Amino acid sequence: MTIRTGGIGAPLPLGSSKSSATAPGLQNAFIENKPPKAKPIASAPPAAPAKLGAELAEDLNEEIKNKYTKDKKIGEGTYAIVYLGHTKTQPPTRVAIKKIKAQTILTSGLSMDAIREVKYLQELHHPNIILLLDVFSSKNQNLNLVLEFLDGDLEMIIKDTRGIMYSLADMKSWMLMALRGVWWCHTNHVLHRDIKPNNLLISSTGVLKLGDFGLARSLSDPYRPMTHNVITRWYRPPELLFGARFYSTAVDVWSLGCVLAELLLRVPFIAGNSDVHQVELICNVLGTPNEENWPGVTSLPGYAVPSNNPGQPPGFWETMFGHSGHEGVRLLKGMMELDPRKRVSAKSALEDPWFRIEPRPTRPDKLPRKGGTEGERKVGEDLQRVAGGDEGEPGGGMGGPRGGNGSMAARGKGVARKLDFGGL
Amino acid sequence: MEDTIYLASSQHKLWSFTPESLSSVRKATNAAAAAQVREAIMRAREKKMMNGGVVKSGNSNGMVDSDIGTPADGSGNGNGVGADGLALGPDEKEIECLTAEEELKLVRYYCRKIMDIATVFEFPTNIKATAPTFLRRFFTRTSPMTYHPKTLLTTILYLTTKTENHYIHLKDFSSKIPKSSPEEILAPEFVVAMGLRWCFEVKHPFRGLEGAIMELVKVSEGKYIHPTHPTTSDPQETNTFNPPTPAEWQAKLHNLPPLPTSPHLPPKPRIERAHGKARSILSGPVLLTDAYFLFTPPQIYLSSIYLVDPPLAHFFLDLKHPYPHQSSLLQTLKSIIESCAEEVRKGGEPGAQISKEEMDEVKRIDRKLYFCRNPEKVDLVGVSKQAKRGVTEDEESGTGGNGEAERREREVKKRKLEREKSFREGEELFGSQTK
Repeated sequence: MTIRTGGIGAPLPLGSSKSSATAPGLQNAFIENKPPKAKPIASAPPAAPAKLGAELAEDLNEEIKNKYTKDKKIGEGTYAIVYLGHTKTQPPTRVAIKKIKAQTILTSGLSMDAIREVKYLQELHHPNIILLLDVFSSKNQNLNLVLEFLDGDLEMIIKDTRGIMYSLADMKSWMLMALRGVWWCHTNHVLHRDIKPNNLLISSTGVLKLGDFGLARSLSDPYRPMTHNVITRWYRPPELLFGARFYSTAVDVWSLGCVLAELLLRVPFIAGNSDVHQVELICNVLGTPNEENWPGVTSLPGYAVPSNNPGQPPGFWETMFGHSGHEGVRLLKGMMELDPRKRVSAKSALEDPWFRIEPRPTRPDKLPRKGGTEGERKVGEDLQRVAGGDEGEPGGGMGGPRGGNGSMAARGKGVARKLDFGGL
Repeated sequence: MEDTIYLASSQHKLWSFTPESLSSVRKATNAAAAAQVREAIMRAREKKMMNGGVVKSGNSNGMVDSDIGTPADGSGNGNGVGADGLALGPDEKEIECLTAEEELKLVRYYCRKIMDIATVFEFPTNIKATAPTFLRRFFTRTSPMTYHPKTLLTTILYLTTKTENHYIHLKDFSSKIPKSSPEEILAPEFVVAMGLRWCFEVKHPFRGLEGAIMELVKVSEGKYIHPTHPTTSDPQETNTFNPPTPAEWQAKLHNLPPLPTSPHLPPKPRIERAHGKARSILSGPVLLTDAYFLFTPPQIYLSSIYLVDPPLAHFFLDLKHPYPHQSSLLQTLKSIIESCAEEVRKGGEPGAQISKEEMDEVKRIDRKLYFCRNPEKVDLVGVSKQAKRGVTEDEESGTGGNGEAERREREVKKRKLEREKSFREGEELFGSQTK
């Protein structure tokens, strides 16, 4: 229903950005929240922009702020507080208001995380990407992001091994929606760089949406290096583990491959406890990267591998993931190719026959999900981030200074530690 | 697809105009600010009268007037600096405000300045191009009478380093700008971000230019294969009309009419020449014009090629629209490119210094601005602190007590003097390049 049902069968229709219209309810909210006067497009009658011109940014800010009511705090971290709120419209729409606290010590003003998130969410409108409804600043110069309220995420579902059973059709549906969101980012030349189950949020109508754009960035220009210190370790592709400074959309595809494997296994697939261990585990599964299977890999700055490991025999994949079907295994392997140049793109993954053969992907509103208060709490946790590091901090070297706190890595570690696998 | 993405972008939705709508937004901004300035100055004068302050007229050197007064110092003006606009009684002089045209000239000057500072930092092109775009966007809906562009330059540039993913530590940034403090750089950050409507993406024409150049090089090598055109309205046409072959395109390129100004160049050097010259137009003059407001990135890069090599630009358009049914579209495009080129020409020659006339005019406007700045928005550090503490002036005087108020006032004054000094020094560093 939110995703056109036709869309589920045929992988690509969301491509047409006409469908950047969202779930009906949200679309209304979106329209209500962006009054036409905020859009003096070229053809707008002169009266509209004239009015806008007369408004001070501060007044507009007040106006936006007054559209929402904060109801209750649903999570608090060092850098952000998340509130459940609603619009003052009739009927009200639930929203999440993420208040990024003004940093008082070591301040660089608006944090890179906040800027990235705002920058990309302002541009990327897609049913499978979390919707940023508004941005306003509250009186203490705190930045507030008004986001559509999403009450669950894929991690909750995967981890609830006792409470939630899901089928192959369900997994296809989630993957399809995740791939669409990622494909839309990539079409817009944006790398997400932090794809993992708890950033794949689920709406009350079952639609999966990409969240947390705090590490996102635009594709760099040729020869401009990027930091390799991104993506939570278990979902980090080998090129980043080897310190590649020039990489592409394939990094997100690897992460999604890990998510697919995790959906199938219900535990993280390659869960190293250090970067070195992560490389080791990847080699164990896929074989040691070398010039033969990945031309050029040995010249990556951080290339260091344990002794030559042939990887798992072909039968391994069928044994581990055979329940996804032959096509499922093939797609998974395509998404987890060692050599990023051989890895499938989000677009070709979307076109994979796996999504078209039986069992067909489940309609979003029929997907199993978890909600209620636990959902709220979880969302509170997910939405607030530890302030991220920046391109240019240790390992980044974008011309910025060294000696930051390596916060990108710290962030990944923090998240990893938070996960509890004891019960699995 | 690209069109759809562009149409959904904030650049299109918030920052695209027709010449008429752009000028009416600017006029409205100007009129609203003028009204506010008059009110604020009146308020300040009344307050001064009530406090019985006798005020000397300050210096009126237009270029160092970074502080005219502070929001809370109506009573403490004994040092003779600032508050010129307030020096006259309410009946003595009508406040003369800037016109929208004057504002625009001032903003254009500070676009140069911000690019100069970016050059000092050796920032990459995207920062050099985004910073002046932010400046122009901000001052489309905010008047320089409300916030002086000069006081926002470092703030905008620092914000740009963050939005363009070129993080540099604030301390390192501010240490390269003489005597500027991190506090001053950050103070107006929210004001700027709000003025930009929290939209930080700027779509530039640079990558488009690179793509076009690559394709032209392909043609020159006889390797350009025309993609099958999906949008033909007449399915018959696709079957009956064959676009030129790679060799035919190559020959056409080879036979382009030569440029009157340059000796006859073979295709490849000619493309390289156009590439270099177009790039320098895009990274300089274009940013001093309204091109980004009035045209799309592809129109802008095409017009930059058109300006340096008209036949080559037309050739590229022909290359992209070879089908007969596209001929009217092609004509439309060519005329859009021409009007875009017209706009871009207003930016002057790449690398050209500011003319003496323009500089004199800017100085005149800046002197005029000295008397019509909104006195409530001058001390940005103070305003921001106040915002951060979330107290209004009234609340403070009610609860803060005299000691606190005096201490603050002293602080404000001290900061003000420091900033004035630092700005003078800053002018010396950056001013030398443009004056």
